[in-house]
Amino acid sequence: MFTRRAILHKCLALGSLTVASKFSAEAMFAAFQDREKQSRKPTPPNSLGPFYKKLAPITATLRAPGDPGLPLSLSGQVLDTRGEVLPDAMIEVWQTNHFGYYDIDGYRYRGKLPVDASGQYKIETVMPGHYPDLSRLCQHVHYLVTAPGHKTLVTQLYFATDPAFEGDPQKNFTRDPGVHTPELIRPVVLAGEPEAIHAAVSFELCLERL
Amino acid sequence: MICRGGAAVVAFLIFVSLSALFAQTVRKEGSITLPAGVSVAPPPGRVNFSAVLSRNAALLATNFNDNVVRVWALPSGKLLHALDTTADPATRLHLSDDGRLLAIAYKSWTIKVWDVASWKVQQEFAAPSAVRAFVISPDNHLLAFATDHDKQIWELSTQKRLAVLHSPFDCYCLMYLAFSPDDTMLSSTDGDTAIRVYDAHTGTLRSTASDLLLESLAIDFSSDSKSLFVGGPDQSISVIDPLNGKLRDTMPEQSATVRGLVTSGDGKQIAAIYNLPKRFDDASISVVLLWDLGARSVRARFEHLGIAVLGGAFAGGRFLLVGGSGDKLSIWSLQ
Repeated sequence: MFTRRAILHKCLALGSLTVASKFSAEAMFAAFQDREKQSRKPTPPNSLGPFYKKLAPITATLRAPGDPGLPLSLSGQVLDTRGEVLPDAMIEVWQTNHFGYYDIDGYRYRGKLPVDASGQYKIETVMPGHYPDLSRLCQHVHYLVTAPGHKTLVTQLYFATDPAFEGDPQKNFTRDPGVHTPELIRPVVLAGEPEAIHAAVSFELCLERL
Repeated sequence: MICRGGAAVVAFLIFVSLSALFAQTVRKEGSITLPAGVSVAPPPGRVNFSAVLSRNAALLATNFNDNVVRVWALPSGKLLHALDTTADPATRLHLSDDGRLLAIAYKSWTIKVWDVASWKVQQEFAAPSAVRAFVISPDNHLLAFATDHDKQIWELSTQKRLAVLHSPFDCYCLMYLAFSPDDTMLSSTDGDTAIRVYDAHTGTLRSTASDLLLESLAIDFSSDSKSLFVGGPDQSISVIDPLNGKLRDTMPEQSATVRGLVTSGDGKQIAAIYNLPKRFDDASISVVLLWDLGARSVRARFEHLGIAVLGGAFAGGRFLLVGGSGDKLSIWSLQ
């Protein structure tokens, strides 16, 4: 079995790779491999609506004291497909409340926030409910992510704990016809004391360059 | 305020309890029994785009759970054509205003335009991805369709692409298109909640209405092409000037999501199909209100619990609507 480095050496020897640089072939191979590692798959898109509402307030805190539902922290980083951090990205999220209803009149559980210098974001909310009478449609949070020079990403985050997946989202993700790929289903971490339990989910967002 | 289940039910009961006042305006015109095993209900997760009427109320086209596209004469309910699309399932249907053409979008991202009289494919188009909406101009010269990535306008007779209209972003959402009755404008609902109006022949953007906060789920022009009506989860009907995109008026709000709008040929009425605000694709409880545009008031109301209203069209002074449940389709008139 050849290593990647050995294959590059062979390519150089056979003429299928040329190094045109003042740096050594070894240094260029190292950079090549490093950049290859950073290559990421863009986050799959998912449907926008129809409950998107523009002009959402700038806030990272969607949960108000006393709101019913399991407290949930959503966090992650916004990157491009080369693994570069996008510090100018803006994230917009919206979801149902604990009972499965969107706020159409106002902006509860809707927010917009810039990421920090390292592309990180953190949102405090509650676990969204299932749509009433439509429990086959999984709990989800909508994301709309923009960054200068990058294609706008419209997607949704789903939760691996959703009863529809019966504990095996890789196998059962098609039970919700809106979930086209298990890549959007993320594991849930439970923490805290039993009487003050909260959930956390990490969702990295990868945008394509324009 | 968050829409809560109890409040929604109370609002809905109030919403429908006045129906008795209008009972004399609703008349059953006919019914259709579907073949064994065919059901009106959409498959799980699928929005009910399974039936369309021609604007002249002469034809109904359906595509239910057996993947057979059927064309029916109205109001008799006589079956004219049946087309098995199992090999490449039909995903959307559109009948031209005069009922001469039936456009079918297929799972393979193709659109075929059928001549209803000869029942032959007249044209075929390839879309760049799944077709979210499509419409034929009233004069049958143009076809416009929307995908997740763009909107395109084609000339039907030459199969020449006239314009590619780029959307603000790939929204993977439902989109709605409408040509103006004078064939000069094409309007679209976009994921960024804006309503855009284009020159129908060149694709030049004429106006953008950006006052709406929520996506729109229904769109239609007035008969004189001077107004554009849109509705959606905001539960109201907005009246927009297509020339400048300005919001001109908002009809009184109801307690349900607007899922369909049809204007009358005389410009005096608009029929609005509402669903309970549970979910946009739950068509099991729907209400139709016939609005008097001059008085800005409801002149007739239709509702039957458990009946999904699939669509409607004006025929003379009355609104012909098709609804169904199980294996039965019924045709009512409302005036």
